[in-house]
Amino acid sequence: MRILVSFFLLYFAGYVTFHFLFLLQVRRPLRHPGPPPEQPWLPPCSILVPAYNEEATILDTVESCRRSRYPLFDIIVINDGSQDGTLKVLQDTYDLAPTPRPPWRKVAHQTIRTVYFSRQDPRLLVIDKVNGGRADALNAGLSYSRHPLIACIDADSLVEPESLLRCAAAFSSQEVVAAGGVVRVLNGCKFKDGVLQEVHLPRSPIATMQVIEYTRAFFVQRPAMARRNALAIISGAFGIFRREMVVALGGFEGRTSAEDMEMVLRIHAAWGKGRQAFVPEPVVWTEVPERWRDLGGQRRRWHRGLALTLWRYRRLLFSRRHPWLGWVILPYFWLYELLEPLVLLLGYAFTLALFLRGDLTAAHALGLFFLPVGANLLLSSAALLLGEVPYGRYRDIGDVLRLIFWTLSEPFWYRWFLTFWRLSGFWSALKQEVTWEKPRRHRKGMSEATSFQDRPRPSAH
Amino acid sequence: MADILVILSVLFFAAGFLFLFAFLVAKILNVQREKREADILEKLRQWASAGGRHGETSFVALGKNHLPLALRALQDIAAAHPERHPRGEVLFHRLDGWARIRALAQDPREGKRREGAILLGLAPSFLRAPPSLFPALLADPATEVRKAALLSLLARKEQEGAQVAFAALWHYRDGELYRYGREALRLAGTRATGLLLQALSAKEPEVRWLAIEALGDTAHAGVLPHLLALALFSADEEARIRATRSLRRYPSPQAEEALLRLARESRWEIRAQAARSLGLLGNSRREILLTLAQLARDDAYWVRNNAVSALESLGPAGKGILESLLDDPDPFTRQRVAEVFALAPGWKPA
Repeated sequence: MRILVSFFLLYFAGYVTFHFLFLLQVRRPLRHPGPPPEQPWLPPCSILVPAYNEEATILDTVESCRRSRYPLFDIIVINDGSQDGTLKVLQDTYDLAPTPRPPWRKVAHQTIRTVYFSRQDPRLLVIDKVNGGRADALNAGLSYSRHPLIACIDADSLVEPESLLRCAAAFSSQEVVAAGGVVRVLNGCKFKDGVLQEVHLPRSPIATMQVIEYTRAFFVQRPAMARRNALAIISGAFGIFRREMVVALGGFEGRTSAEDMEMVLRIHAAWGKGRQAFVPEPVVWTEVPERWRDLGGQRRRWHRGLALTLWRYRRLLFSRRHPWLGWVILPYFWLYELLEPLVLLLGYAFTLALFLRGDLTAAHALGLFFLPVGANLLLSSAALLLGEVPYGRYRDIGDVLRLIFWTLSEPFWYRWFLTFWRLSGFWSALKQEVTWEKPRRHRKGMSEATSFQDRPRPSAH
Repeated sequence: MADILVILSVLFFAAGFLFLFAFLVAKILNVQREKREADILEKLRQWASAGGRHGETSFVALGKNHLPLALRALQDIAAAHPERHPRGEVLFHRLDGWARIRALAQDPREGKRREGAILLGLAPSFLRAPPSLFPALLADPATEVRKAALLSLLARKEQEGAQVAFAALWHYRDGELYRYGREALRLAGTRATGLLLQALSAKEPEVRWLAIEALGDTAHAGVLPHLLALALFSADEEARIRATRSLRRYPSPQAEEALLRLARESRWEIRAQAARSLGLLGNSRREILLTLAQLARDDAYWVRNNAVSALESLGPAGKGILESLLDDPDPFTRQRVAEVFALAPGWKPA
């Protein structure tokens, strides 16, 4: 009994220590830094928007991108074989016409049906391709991007006009190869034509819980990781990369279903040099699931992706080349992101069983139950203090009070659902284990896009 | 053991509640501060724009305690009167603007110096900064201070400082600030030419390339021979590409001849840059038109693309060639040309 309790206490002590380390790394101004200055010297950027069945949101996303305050950029929407009217709404709104533009670089992806340019906005390019998943769509966009930076943005997200400017400012340093920004919850906010009008907390408790989760992730963990150049993930909803580096690494990889984390770890593993930055202010607003079913599906997928990616890059664990990533961040991910649901569930089950057998007193059992709850509350409140005070967007005191209330309630209900979904995702990753290392020599329907140099000029005859 | 668990739990909960309380208080204070600052800014703007002794006295009294807000209020005046505004000058001097910025710039604490550098950028543009301020801040050992100073310099568009900026960048070999540096050099204009020519022999390729681009930006006739030599004979391919690109700012027979020669290079990047530069030089003589027509049928898409764009920018003569390319056997060329016409206002397909 003692051994079990000691194990759980040790595990828990590790959890607290890791988060204490993260909190120590975070440097925050107490006040908002203000709007960024014009920076006409920033490298041009291609915004890649992969879209699959996004008929309802794609126009707002493209509009928000078009309003970006950035010196030189283009927008490449990749319609990844949508079965709804995604392509049609784009055609109707932006007056699209086919163009023969060939790809700029060679990256493998599914067959492209047609490339369109917009008669209304020359900065917009739409690629219509056979469905191949988000990573595949990003690779198609990557082939056609011609600027040194690529920004990957979800098709259900809104970009603030200054987000690109702030985030890409990190690239004025030659060392920076990738940068991520803060993603916030769009639910509950009012927006029109891609422009955010009012910011409010979502009405739905499920969406509100995700606000707290995002705050924890984006204002404590990621800035701390980035400070030590040990960023393990750049959110798929908003990340900027140097194009040539991504091309050199072979493009995005979709087999782990976590292409964002996979790319970041691949950069660490393959590149070894260069810095990955995290900029706390660039904000992309994204819609989060409000239904249990959708949230469950998303979290299962995320956890499965996490498991597969961590397994694939297990060689980075305790790597001497990456002291912070290998010795702090990845052990944290293995122990407290991947295995936490399993340990938590087992811990509570043992506590209950020992209590029922009479091996634990009520004070012991309650202590073991409330210790992680208290630690979780402490972490969430610290994240709110660090993130929401300088960079917070909720101006309404009613919203703030509701946020506090739901933060207090989180460990008692939301965490349990999360634990269940994450376990389920972990299980699905385990089942897939045998297929991980199978070499995939050829994918049916996959075309290797040729670069423009390789493309022969048709004969004049 | 049970006691320790309970005590730890209570401690975590207490700290959690304390943080949440602090969050609530900080949020309320933040919202109130934002409202108060918005009110103060509004008042300062009113007093700064309205004439009269009362307005001036009130502006100075409030502005002394809120210097950044006062400077922002004065920026509104500066935006309307970028050259000179006597009333704005009086208000700024009565705030002891330069003295306070100088005091911050000389502070031993890095944060304060950075604040001074930021305020320097907010100072009204119709007043020249005291000569010692920018050099001191641009030579600061702290990167953040130099960065803030460079941004302020660019916001104020001060030529004297721009020259100093490059010297500072040169001194620190500051990779992070090279892009800012290029902008500063653009401001410095011909004053920076000597430094840039010296930078062409730098060991670091980034410095050499930056210098080539910046030399291109100066559009100074004395630079042309150097650019021609780089574009035609440099062993560094990247330098050749950048020099070819820079030639677009030198409308002269020498540049045109060199570009016509570069249009026959084996590297498509050089041909592409040569095509665009020929278009931007604006001379539509027959030889140039024929070369561009030939480049519009090049094997590399981006050469064709740039040649079509170049013909488009050459006006009616170029358009004539483009129309003939509408029947080109190469569908890529045809459609690229059609794209140009489709984007042109008022053009209807035949």
